[in-house]
Amino acid sequence: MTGMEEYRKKIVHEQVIPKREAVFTPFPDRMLPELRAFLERSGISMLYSHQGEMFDRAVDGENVIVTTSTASGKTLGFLLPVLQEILTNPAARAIFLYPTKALASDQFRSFVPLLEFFGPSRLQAGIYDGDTPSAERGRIRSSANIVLTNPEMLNATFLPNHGSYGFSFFFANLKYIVVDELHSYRGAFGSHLANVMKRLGRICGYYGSSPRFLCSSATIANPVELAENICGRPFSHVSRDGSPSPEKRFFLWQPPTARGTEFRVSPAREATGLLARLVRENSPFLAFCKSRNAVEVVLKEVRDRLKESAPESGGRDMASLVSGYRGGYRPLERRDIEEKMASGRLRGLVATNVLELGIDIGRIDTAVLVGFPGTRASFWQQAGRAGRKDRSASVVLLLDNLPLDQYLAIDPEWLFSGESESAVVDPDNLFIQVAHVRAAAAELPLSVDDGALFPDLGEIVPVLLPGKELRKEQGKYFWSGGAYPAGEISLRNMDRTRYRLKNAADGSLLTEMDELQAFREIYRGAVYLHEGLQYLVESLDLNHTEALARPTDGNYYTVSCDMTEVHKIRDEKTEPLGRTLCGLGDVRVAYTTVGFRRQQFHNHQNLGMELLDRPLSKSFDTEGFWIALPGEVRRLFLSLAPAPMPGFQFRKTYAEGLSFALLNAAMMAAMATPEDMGSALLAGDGPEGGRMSVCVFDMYAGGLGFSRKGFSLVRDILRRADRMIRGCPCRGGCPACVGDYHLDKRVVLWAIGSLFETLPPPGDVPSAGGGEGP
Amino acid sequence: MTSAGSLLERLNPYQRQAVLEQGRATLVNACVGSGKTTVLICKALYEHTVNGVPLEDMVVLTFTNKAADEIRSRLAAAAPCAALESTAWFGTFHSVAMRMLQRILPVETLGYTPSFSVLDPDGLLEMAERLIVEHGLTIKYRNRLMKRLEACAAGRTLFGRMKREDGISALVELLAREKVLQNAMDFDDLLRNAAALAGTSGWSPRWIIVDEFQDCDGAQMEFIRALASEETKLFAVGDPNQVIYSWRGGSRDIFRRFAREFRAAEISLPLNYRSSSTILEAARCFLQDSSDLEGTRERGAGIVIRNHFNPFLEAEYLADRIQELHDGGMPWGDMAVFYRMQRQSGPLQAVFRRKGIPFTLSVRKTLKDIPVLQWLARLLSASVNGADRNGLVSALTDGRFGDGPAPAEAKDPVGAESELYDRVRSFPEWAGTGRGPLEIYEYFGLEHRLSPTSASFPENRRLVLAFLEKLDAFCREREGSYTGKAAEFLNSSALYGTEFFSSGGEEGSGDSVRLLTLHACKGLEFPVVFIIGVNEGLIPLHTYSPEGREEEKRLFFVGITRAKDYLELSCYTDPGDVRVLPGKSGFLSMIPSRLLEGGDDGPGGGDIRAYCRALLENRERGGGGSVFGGAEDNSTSAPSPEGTPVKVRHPKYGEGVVQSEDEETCTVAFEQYGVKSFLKDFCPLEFL
Repeated sequence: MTGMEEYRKKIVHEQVIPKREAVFTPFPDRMLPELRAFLERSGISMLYSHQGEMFDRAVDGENVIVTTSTASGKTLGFLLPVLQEILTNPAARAIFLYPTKALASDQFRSFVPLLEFFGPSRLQAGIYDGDTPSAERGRIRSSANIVLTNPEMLNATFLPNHGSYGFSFFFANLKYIVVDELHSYRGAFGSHLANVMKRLGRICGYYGSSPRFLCSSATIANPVELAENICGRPFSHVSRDGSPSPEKRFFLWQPPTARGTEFRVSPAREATGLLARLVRENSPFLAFCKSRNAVEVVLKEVRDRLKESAPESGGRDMASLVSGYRGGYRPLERRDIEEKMASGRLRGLVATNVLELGIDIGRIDTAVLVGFPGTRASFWQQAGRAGRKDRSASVVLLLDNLPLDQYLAIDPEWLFSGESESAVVDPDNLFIQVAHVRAAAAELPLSVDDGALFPDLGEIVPVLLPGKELRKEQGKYFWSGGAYPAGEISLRNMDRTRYRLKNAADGSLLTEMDELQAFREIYRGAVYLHEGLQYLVESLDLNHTEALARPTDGNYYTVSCDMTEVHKIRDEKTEPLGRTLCGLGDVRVAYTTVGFRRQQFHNHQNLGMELLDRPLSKSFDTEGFWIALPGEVRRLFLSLAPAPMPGFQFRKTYAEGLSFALLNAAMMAAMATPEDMGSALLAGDGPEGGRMSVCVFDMYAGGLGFSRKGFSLVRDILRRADRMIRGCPCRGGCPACVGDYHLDKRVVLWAIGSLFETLPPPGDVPSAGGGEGP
Repeated sequence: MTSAGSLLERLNPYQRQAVLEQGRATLVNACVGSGKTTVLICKALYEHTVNGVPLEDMVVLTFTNKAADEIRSRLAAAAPCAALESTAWFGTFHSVAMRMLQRILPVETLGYTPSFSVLDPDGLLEMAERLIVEHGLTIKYRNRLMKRLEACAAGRTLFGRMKREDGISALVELLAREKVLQNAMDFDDLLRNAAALAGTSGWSPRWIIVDEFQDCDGAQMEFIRALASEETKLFAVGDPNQVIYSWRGGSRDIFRRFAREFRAAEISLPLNYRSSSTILEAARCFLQDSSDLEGTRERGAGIVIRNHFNPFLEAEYLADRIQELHDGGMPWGDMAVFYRMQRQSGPLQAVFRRKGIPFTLSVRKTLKDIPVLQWLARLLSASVNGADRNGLVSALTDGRFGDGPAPAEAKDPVGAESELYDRVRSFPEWAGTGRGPLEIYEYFGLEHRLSPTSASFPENRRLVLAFLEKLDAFCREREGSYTGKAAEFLNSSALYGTEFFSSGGEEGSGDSVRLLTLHACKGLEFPVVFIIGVNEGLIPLHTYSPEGREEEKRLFFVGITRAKDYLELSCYTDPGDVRVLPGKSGFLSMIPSRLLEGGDDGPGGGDIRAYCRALLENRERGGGGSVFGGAEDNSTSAPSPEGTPVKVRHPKYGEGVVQSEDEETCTVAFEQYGVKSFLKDFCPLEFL
């Protein structure tokens, strides 16, 4: 990107990662001639070194995980050993597993040249998911060598039906299981997948097959561990990247303060000018926003800018050269955008993190991150999108007014030198294990051998017997419970209630979304933005899960005002914890949209707030554990709470800082991710209630055992939290340890210590009359 | 040669009376398990050996090729001189009619030649579809065309909710003309034409012996009538309780009509020698009138009803159970599994094969049931018979093996562009006086057409090569032009089906478990019988009329009465088929519980979270172990015979001392974790 100098004042950090040259290797000797012929016809005369390494290891029977960069030809790396097998043995079968349907259909398109080259009597493939018509399903089951699918289909369709519809042939001939984007399977989702893989292994064993695994993962701290945990086999790691990479320049961009205030301008507003400029300079870009709404606002503003400057650019309307891309666009819309971008008819996309996965949109020069995406793994994944052959690439990170973003301005090394996050999974999570043991029993009778697969089987079977879900016959345990236990499993937290948004003018369907999104985006009065067009929502019908909107052309967008509240429903048990109490029980987590703000495009001025006639609230009951804070801690926390501030400055309170630290330690203990667990102050015992409790809860209706495990390990968790804060390299406190660099970590440490003994507050902190008992 | 004495001495008085009967017409009302087949065979043997009736003068009509073959082989064993050729009139109604039309009836008077070909029902439908298009006919209910043609044959031109006639009558006329033009008869034509011509041949048999008479339909009765002259004697055996083919036109009152029409002498065979009285009593629940069914046997074991999760797990269970029975000394051949629909045999075959349980699958497979052979037969038929346009069109447009459906805008569905078309057209020239199976396989590029990546490829390839080998062998044995011989082979396979192509690899391997549909189990008996899938939608199949349900009852009755000593019935929680309802069918509750062994075992149910909470609580409590099934009664604390404590190690809980153990569980006291119970099957305990 040229002319970054112009923005010099705003760049708080610049880092260069030098160019990497390609490392090639000749085709392996044992590669089939027809495979070489295909490669040569596609203009490939050599392999990248990692592709050669993958081929050799896979053909030698190893399970392989590859962690090379985005667009390093991993798909071809997977395909070569799989094709080698299929071309030798036409009955061979392979599963290509993708975390989303969109990714599967994107990847399938890259298979088309192969299918054409080899013809249907040598190679067949197909996507098998919820949208596949039944005739196509039949063809895939009987004839497809490569089946592209997702974990839900494996769990709920392939495994339960292994004995029928021709699936048995599929399992008997399964040679490879390819798991793309393995890092997506973390926390509960990953634990579920690990158990699905155990069931898959059982079924394959039954049919006498023993498939090999080929996995790919983005940069995470523990790719091999993750692969071994999920697939249950030893893995070898291919990490030396043979693909070339241009020089990459990273810029951390600090938005200026708004005139006359101490508040920083939002990164979205900063992005507008930069992106418009990139369009004019014909430098292909990809901008990542953190929400669907942000995508649309940025898109509209960029287009407006381009229209304004049309006279300067010779009257040419460049607004149509940039497009949005996010969930909620129809598949055809998305495909059209992908193709236009790949072919150069579009110069840039404004997207959510759905484009983090390897969807092919061609190569780009610049990645613009409108706010830090939350994890280093995501950051590197988004940054990896930038870089074309022989052109240096740029990555611009626009910092948001959030603790972690602002911390990066202070300590950019954390981003560049630190390791990526670990992806944790706990295959032995009891709730998940029980669910899959039930499903497994319905697939094949349980026998002694299965004890090696499910470590708690000896305890699980006896609780299923009295419920008559198992029956013993000839020394084996047969499923005798209700139909379809695999169908009771939900692998990820997905809301099955769908809302439709229709155009009131012609009844056409604009988009679909789940309930929580609907409550935040299409309440009455909301402006819904779709590909830059505006629709004013006229009604939201909860009974029919449908909303109507009319095209409009206003000067504002809307932002929902929502809040999350956690209420305690029931104490299951309470235990003394030092000077205070700790409890486990059921809690209700409620997300409520109470109203919305109208905000003007471009200057983002607040045009006023409106309350909804009836708040939209979505809640679920789950399990949580809580710790009541001693009186002096509560009082100090309250006295240190920042006064409510207008505008866009977000800071965490000390209570939030403590619950942040506690959540981090609890997630580690329970092997969970931020998608699995949350934390908050218990509502209803706020300041006037004279109490204050921090609560950590499961993000799954009914709970998945994470908080339960947390409760039983609460002392370990507090010790671990203490150690993590003390051990953090930051000086006073940072977003990594206490959630916000404004917070003094000594106060948080004092609060943890105070649970067990009366301690004086840190000397220079204004005391709120500490030292008394709770 | 068997003497009359030895032939008759094995019979009971009822049976003997039947065999000796010499009146103009005899109707044997044989109750289930009363030795019907024995009587039938003895009758044929008796007339041949004692009364000297030549086999050529007997017509023995059966419902299946299997039954005809059995009679023929029993005859051959008893009377070795009986040449195969002289039993030409032994067989199914259709095959006997076809042979008569080919050999002794003047088909020319109907416009045919004796080398006519036989159209299977699909072939007929295709011909009809083509005529509809060619003549622009309007036919309502086109997706039920076969039913409409049948109704029309019975004189009903209106169908369903129709108010006015459509083109069906015209279609029937066109079809009749087209069949003559193509020198082809459909299955119904065989009987109809044979009946029409029988009177003109001047020949009539001395005996007509009919098996399973209760399943005769009107056309078959008509055929019998036409064959019988004043001197012909009729002998019909059947059981009105076993009418299971009324969908093919059989009727409950055929017995009455026969008795009246021919003033037949009626003889009953009331004694059931086969089943235990418990089984017989259960069977009686499915009879409308159970008065004339007498048991002769002891009470026997109770009937077992099992609920299985799905057909696959049931197959796993059955394989283990059958193995267990076999290990206990039961010959494989004494056990049989019955089901309502042939497709249900799939999981059984797969699991039995995998577990090494020898089995025989009795399927009446026609070409129609094996898509690849049906396609091949059409392809070959079109290749050897240039007039066979039906075969040509359907072979070329086949979606799986042909070129796929012709584009809608194409005038002629058979594109001249097609390579396959060229191969078909030049086949007679290429084949000359004959080609080997592999040559033909390559000529049509079959390897590619069978789709090598598909699951069915190895099996299809085997079937195709076997079929081509049969064709080859058939042609070698005969004289004449290659195309003529090949055409003859293709016709006979259309009519007879191809039992020899069945994939039950273990077929006929002596001692093996039999897998049969309820329709096919008729006439057989086994000490141990499993009837599977007694769910609504299978047993009984969904029917739209009370009569249909009655017939389903009779069918179930037939199945039950095959069992001699042990009967096990099952149903599924998850039948894996939308047409089948989960859980027990009404039929199972019709069996009184006093006849059953063991209690009710419906599906259980539970909640994952409740399980986990119970399990975790138990862990935390570190003892009691009430959730660990049967561990409450730890009264029988028997550490070891000597009284010294037995020490064990657990990977999670460390070392502990065994407190008690029984068959299933083992209770251990751990120092740190308290008392825990383990299921022995999954016990990770290491004994020290």
